[in-house]
Amino acid sequence: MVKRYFVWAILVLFTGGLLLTGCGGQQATPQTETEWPQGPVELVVPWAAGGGSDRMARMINDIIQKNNLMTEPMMILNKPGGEGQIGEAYLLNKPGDPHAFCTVASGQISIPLSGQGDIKVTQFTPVAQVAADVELLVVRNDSPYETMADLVAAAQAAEMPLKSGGTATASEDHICNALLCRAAGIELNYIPFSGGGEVMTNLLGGHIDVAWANPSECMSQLEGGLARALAVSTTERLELKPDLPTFQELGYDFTFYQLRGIVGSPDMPAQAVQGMIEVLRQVVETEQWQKDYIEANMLVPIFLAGDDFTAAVIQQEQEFAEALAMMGLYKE
Amino acid sequence: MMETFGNLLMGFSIALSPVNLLFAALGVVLGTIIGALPGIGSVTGVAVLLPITFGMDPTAAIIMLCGIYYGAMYGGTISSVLINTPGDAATVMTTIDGHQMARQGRAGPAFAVSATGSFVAGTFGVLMLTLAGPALAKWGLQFGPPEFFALMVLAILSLAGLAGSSPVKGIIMGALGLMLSTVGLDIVHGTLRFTYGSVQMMNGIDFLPVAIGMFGMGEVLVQMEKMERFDLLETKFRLRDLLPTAQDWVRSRWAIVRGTLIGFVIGVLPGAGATIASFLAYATEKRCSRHPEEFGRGAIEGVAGPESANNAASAGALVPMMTLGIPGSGTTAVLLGAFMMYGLQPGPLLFKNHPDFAWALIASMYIGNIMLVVLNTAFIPTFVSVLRMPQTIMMPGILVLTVVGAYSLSNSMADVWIMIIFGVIGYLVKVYGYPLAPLIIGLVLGPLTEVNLARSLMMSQGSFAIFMERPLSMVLLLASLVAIIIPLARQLMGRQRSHSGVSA
Repeated sequence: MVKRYFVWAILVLFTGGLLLTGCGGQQATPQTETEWPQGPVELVVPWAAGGGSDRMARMINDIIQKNNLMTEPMMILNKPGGEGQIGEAYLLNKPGDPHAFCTVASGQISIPLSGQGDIKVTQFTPVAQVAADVELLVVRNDSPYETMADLVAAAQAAEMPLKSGGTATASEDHICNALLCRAAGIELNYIPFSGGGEVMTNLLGGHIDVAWANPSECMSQLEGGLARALAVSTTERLELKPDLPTFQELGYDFTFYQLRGIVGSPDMPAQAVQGMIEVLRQVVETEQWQKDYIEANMLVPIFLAGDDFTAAVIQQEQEFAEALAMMGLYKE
Repeated sequence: MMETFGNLLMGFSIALSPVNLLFAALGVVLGTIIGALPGIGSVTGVAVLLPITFGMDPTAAIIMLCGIYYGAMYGGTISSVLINTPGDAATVMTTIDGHQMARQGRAGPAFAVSATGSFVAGTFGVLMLTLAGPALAKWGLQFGPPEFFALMVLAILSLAGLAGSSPVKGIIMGALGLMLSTVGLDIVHGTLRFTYGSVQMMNGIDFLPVAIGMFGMGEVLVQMEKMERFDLLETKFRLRDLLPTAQDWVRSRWAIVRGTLIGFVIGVLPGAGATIASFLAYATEKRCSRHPEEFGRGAIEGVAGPESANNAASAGALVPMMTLGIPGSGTTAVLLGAFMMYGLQPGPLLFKNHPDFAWALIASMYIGNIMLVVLNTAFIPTFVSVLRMPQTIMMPGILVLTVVGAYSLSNSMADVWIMIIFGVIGYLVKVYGYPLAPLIIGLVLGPLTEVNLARSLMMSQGSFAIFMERPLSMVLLLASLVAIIIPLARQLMGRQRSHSGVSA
């Protein structure tokens, strides 16, 4: 009896070992100057499943599959945590790998600037920006503030500063909050929350006066008549919300965009970068992308590849550094 | 009222179509399996299976995804009871008494009571969603940072009673949990604490790998020491032992009711969730029980309460999601994403613009809960037969599951190392008779307490008066005061009585 169990145990270990080594063998793809890709393409999402970056990655993958845009499968790997730094550290350890990519959102640019981690987006090979997200300033439907002017007047008159809410400290929401305060000459008491859902809950519950949110974070409440947007951070009004003024046209001189894109492993071969750019270019031209991603999330369509994308990242990094320095949160 | 009933009937007519029934069944079966596998919880399960549903009929797809969500709450019990490894974050409390029951040959009753409690709780939750969704969601919104802080204080103080035989050992473990919870990125101030330059440590120490290590791996190490010969776990497998006795039902009856109510209320609050609901239900049961000494040694109320609570909470979390469009938990956030991918905007307009979809989904949850209770009762003999496996096969198997489970949390080896380190700590802690639960509780409640205290003080610009100015937080804080005074007063009075007894 006893011996039989041993035999079984050894068999299980043996097959398990085979499976493991089998998997290991596949990763060692030979690098030749032929067609890209040579093996499965890995797209790291350094945020949790279900979030904005995850939805973008899964949408890209779905479009690639439906339209046969790539000869090899794409695998999406969620490596959440550390404000994006953990997934980035994983990609940093794969220099030159032609099949390893990672999604980028603006938060990953601002985080290292405030001393919350060392890995910068500029350490990777830029591939492309595929969309831009914007910031809305939102109030409850029954709020006394009908316009931005009401809000600014109330903020100036208030004894205790009005409370604004957004996601995390030194985040895009926080930076945008500081930019408005400077432009309007007001003070807002910024309360950091753990996610977009929590921000909206606290706004609807009356625990904060105004909230910063991406359109995708507050659309249900705006359309359902629970909340109203006062202004948007773009240069021109949103196509889908033609009645919503921009901060700039109201005389608060600032604009704010969050970029969404993809970077490759450090020192990625040029051929792989080009290959991925071509795939993404085809993705953003599909109707599904325009309708189910850009319009559904009220994003601004934009496509910047290669050097243009690098320039956009560097420019955003500078703007963020400046804003964070003004807020006293910039750390070298 | 009549309108609601009519809508629900329409919902049933859609949900009972063969295709939707098939996907509801598929969802709940997948959910049970995903829940039973340690580590992979409903968040990962729904997120990973979401892309597979692309191109499906939206109603069928969302019915399936929701099935996975509440199905996982049933399934989590299986690994907690059988192998002492929580299958899901919300089943950590079930592990404590559930596995002890299994060791005493009473895994069958544990499953039966848990399936029944889950069914009662799940159905109650859906019923409340049907009847009073919007009103409940509005009530939940009253909970801001000060109220959450007060609720956490109440939770910590009522859970302090869980310490077990030695209060000192319990406090040591609880304090250790709170201290460990400070590791990582502090989101309020954006500073790094105790990370020592390591990117992996920015995440802090997540409680799930700790729980999997301390309960699952720790137990394996303890058992290995005892394993002198290759023997079977001494369990009886007569059919009679698979069913709960009349006394089991009497004892768990009110535990199910209390667990359901606590779970649902906590679930409706945005951001609290099933894990905290199960903690509070366990603490309540220990306080209400006539046999508090049996807790930790296989008390059936300790399974019935938390299991009902986590199911009621998962249904409760759907209330703010469907009526306000706000996710109340990690999984509902993913579900919200799924709704949006199908162009369905959850929130006030969902019932107006897509009533057929909304009511079909609600109807499918009644059906899914019936499927789950049948499934989880019918397969009890199969689940229990896992215990027939010889220890020499079972223990290495559990080790493999704990490692895979820890890795699957966020595809990271760091979680595996945390799991292994806490596995060894769990072994030492068990050998020296320290309780495990307070450490886990400290780890979960610590960050929530801290972050909500910080936010409250930011809101009031540093004034502690904010906690007393708001009625809800004041009531909760007064309740926590009572929670410490009563046991202390009882102890004092007991001492006086024994003193006078001695002198007389």
